[in-house]
Amino acid sequence: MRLRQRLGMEWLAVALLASCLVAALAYWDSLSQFDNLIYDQLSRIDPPPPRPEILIVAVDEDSLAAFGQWPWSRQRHAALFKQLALGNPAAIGFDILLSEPGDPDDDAALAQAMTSLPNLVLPLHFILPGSNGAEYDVKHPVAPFAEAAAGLGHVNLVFDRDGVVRRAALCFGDKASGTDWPHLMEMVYRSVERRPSSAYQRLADCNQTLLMPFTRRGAYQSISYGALASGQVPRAFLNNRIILIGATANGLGDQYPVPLGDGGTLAGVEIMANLYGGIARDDFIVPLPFVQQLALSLLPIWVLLLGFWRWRPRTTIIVSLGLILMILLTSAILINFSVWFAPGTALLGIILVYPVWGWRRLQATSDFMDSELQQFHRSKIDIPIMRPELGPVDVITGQAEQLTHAISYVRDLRRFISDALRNLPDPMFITDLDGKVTFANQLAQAGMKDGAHDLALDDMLDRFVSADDLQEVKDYLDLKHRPTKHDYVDFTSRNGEIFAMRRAAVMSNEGTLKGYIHYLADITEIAHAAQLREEVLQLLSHDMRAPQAAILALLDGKEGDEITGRIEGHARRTLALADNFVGLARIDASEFSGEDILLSELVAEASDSLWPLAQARNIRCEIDDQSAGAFVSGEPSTLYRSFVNLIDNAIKYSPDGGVVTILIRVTELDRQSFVSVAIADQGKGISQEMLGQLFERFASDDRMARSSIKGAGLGLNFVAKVMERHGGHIRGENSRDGGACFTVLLPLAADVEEQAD
Amino acid sequence: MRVAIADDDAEIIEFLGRIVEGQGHVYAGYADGTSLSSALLRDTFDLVILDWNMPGKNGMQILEWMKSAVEDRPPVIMMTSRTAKQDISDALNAGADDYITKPEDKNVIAARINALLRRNNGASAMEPKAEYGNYLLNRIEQTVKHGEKEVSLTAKEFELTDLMFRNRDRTLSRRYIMETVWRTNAHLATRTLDMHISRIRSKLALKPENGFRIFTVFGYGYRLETFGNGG
Repeated sequence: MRLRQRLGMEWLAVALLASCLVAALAYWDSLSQFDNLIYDQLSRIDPPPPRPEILIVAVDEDSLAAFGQWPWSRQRHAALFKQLALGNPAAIGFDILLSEPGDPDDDAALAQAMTSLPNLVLPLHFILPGSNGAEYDVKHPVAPFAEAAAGLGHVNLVFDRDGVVRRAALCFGDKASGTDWPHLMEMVYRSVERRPSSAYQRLADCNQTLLMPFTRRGAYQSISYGALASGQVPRAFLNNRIILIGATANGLGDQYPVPLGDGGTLAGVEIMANLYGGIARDDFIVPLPFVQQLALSLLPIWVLLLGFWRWRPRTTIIVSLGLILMILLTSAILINFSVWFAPGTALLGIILVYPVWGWRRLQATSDFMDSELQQFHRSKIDIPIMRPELGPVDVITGQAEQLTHAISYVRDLRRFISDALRNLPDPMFITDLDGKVTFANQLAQAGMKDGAHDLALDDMLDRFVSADDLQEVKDYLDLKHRPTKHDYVDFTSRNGEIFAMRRAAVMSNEGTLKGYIHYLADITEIAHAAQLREEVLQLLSHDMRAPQAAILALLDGKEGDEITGRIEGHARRTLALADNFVGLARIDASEFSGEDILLSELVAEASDSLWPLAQARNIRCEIDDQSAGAFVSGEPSTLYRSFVNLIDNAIKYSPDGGVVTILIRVTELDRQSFVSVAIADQGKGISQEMLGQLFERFASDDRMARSSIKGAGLGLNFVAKVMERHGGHIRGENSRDGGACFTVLLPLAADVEEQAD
Repeated sequence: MRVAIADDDAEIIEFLGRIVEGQGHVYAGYADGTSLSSALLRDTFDLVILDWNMPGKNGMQILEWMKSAVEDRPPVIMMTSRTAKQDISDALNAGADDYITKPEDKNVIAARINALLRRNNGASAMEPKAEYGNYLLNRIEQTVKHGEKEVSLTAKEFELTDLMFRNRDRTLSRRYIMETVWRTNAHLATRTLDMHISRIRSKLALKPENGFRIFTVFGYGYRLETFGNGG
C-alpha cells in the first residue's frame, strides 16, 4: 500500500477516535474536576466589585466573646433587630435558622422585634432525605417568626463533586407542583426591588444552578454582631443597607470551601453576599450549552488534525502548545462575558491526539520504509558495496540505518553511473523535456567552448552542427518525433567531423517520459570510407560502363572482322567484370530483402538472355523443369545475375554444337525443401586443382589459361555469395561424362494460397 | 516520324540515330538536358530517347519537367547504363514509357522504338485474326496456332497472350496486366500472374528460337520481346 493512502486511513481513524472521545467526555462532563480547577483560577483573575449596599452583620469571635457561647438566647436577636429597626435598612436577610421553638418568652420577644422590621427575610431549610420516602422535608421557621417575616427563602448550598461551593440554586423544589422555594437572597432582592430578579425569571427549571461570581475575600463590608447589638454602630450607617446576618466565627461551622483559589473557606453569610451580588448585577456565569461546548472543544483538535498534513512535527508541537493557550484564553475571555467554556475536553483532546497521531504516523512510516527497503534490496543492481551488520537496535533506528545505507548505496551508484557517463568514449548529453541540457559528459563539454551545462538544446546545436545539417538534426530532435529502434541522424559538425546522433528516452520508474539521452558517435572515418566506396561503385557502375557501351555502339556500325570481334569481347568482359564487382560490393553493403520468385522462370529468362551467344556457336540450352511452379524467396537481380553467370560459363566451356542441360527439381535435404538447379555442360570439366577453390575471389581458372576463352574471375565468387545470402548452396563438380556441372540449392518459399486463376 | 535523342556521348547518339534512320524515321540529337528541354518546347517529336546521366538536366529531371511543361507529351524511352533494379522501376514509375540499358542489341532497340511509335499512332484495330511471327491468334475462337500446332489455352491465358502480343516490345506493368486481363483493382496474389506467364511461356514455347522471349522487369512488370523476324 502506498504510504499516502495508509497515512490517510490512519489519520481518519485518529480523527474519528479523537472526535468521539471528545464528544463522550463533553457529554458526560467527565472532566468536571479538572475543569473546576481551571475555573477557580480563571474566575479569580477579574473578580467583580462588591455591592456597596450589602452590610454583613457577623456573629464573629468578638461577638462570641462578648455574649458567650452559641446558640444565644433569642432575646439577643430581638435586641439586635431593635437596633436595626432604628437604622432603617432596605432589607434584612437573617441566615440563622429559627426552625425549632425556643423559650416562649424569648420567642415572643423576637417575634415582637420582627414586627418593627418590614423587610426581614427568614431562612427555611430542608432535611435530606425526607421522612416517609419523600425526597426532602421542608423545615419552616416556627410559626410566629414565619408570620412576622416579609419572606422566606431557602439557604441550601450547592456543592460540586469536590465539595466546593461554586453554584447556587436560586430556586429549590418543584415549580410545577408549586412547592418551589426561592433562595433567601432572591427573597431579599424581591423585598428591595419588589419583583423577582431577571436571573430567577430566566431559570429553565427550578433546580438549575448558576455559577456565582465571587468577589475577593473580605470585600464585603462587615460589622460585628456584638458591636451592632451593643449600639456602637451609628444608625445612619445602616440606612438603606441590605443587612445580612450570619455566623462567621470559625467555631460555628458555617464555613464552606469556595473557588477563590486559595483553598480557604468562606462563611455562609459571605457566600450569600456574593450570591446577592450575582443577582443584583445579573452576572451569573452560564455554562455553554452542550452543542456549543462540543463545537468549541472539537475546533482546536481539527485545526491540529488538518495541520498534521501540512506542518513539520516541530511546527505541530508549537501549534499544539499555542492551541492549549488559545483554549485557556478563550475560557478566560468568555468567563468575563459570564459564559463558562469548560476547556478540559479540548485540552485533553489536544494532548491525546498529538502522541496518538505521532504513534500511528511512525508506525505507518516504519511499515512503509520496511517494505520499500525490502523492495530496494530485492531490485538493486549488484555492485558490491560494504554493508555493515546492524546491531540489536530498536526497529525505527534500524530502519533509519538501513535507509542511510540505501541512500549511500544509491549515492555510490550515482557516482558510478556519473563517472561512467562522464568518461564515455563518445560525446553524450541529456536534455529535459523543455529542451535544456541538464548533463553533458567530458567529450560533449569539450565540443562546446563555453561549456554545455544548462544550455538550451537549440543553442547547443547552433554552435555544434554545421549550418547545412542543422535543420535535419532539429527535425530529428523535434519533441513530437518519437524515437524508434534504429533511429539516428547523421550530421557534420562545424569542425568537419561527422557524427551519428541517437536519442533514447529517459523514463521514470512509473513510465513517464522525463527527458532524453543523446549519444553521439564519431563516424567521420566510416563516413569517409563509405563515401569513397560509393564513389568507386558509382565509377564502376556508371562511369566505366558508359565508354564500354560507346565502344560497343561504335563497333556496331563496322563490318564484323576478327579485330572488331575481339574488341567487342574485351568490352563485354570489362562490363561483366564491373557488373560482378559492383554486384559483390552491393551485396556486402545491403540487407537481404526477399520477394517471391518463380525460379524456373528466372532461369529460363537467364538462359534466353544468352541465346545470341549460344546460337553463334550453335549451342543449345535445354531446360528440363519439373519443379511444378516452385517459388523461392529471393532478390531477383542478384539471382538472375547468378544464373546468367552460371549459364554463361557453361556456354563458354561447351564445345561448338554442344548442349547445356539445365535440370530444375524440388528436393528434400535435412527435412527442408529446396529447389535445385543443375547446369551441366559438355566441356572438358574442371581441373582437380581448381575444384577446391572454384568460388574464391579472383581464382584464376587454369581452364581459362588453356582455352582462348577469358572469364571474369569474379563470376563464381559472386554466385557463391548470392547463394549463401539466400540460405542456399552451390557445388561444382565434374559429371561422369566429363563436363562440368554446377548445382544450386535454394530453399523453397513458404506456400501462399492462390487466390485467382 | 521524328525522334529526339539526348545523350552526352556522341557515339551513342550516332549509334541510335542509325537505328532510327534504319526504321525509316528521322532524328535530332542533343548533347545535354538543357538543349533538349528547349527543343521540346518549340519542336514536335514523336518519341524521345533520354539518357539518364547528362550535363544540365538529367533524365529524371527532364521526365519530371515534361509532365508539366510539355503539352501532348511524346513517349519517352530512358537510356541508362544503370542496371540496378531499383533504378529501372524508378524510371518507369516516374513516367518513362520504356527503358533500355546500355549496351543493348540494335535489333532490340529498333523493336522497342517501333513498339512505342506504333502505340503512339493508335493501336492497330482488333482484327479477328492476327499473325505474329509464327503465331496465329484467332480472337473469335480464342485459339492460338504455333506453326501447324494448335495450342490449348484457358480464357485468361488467351487474353494474356493477346495482350502481350499486341503490346510486344513494350514494358507492361503488373498492374496494367492485372487490370486488363483480370479486370480488377483488387490485390491479386502476385504468384497468380507469375504462374500464368510461366504457363504461356511453356505452352507457346516463347523462346528466342521461336522469335520471342518474355522478359521480367523485376519490381515493375513484363515485356514480350521479338527476335529477328518476330515483329
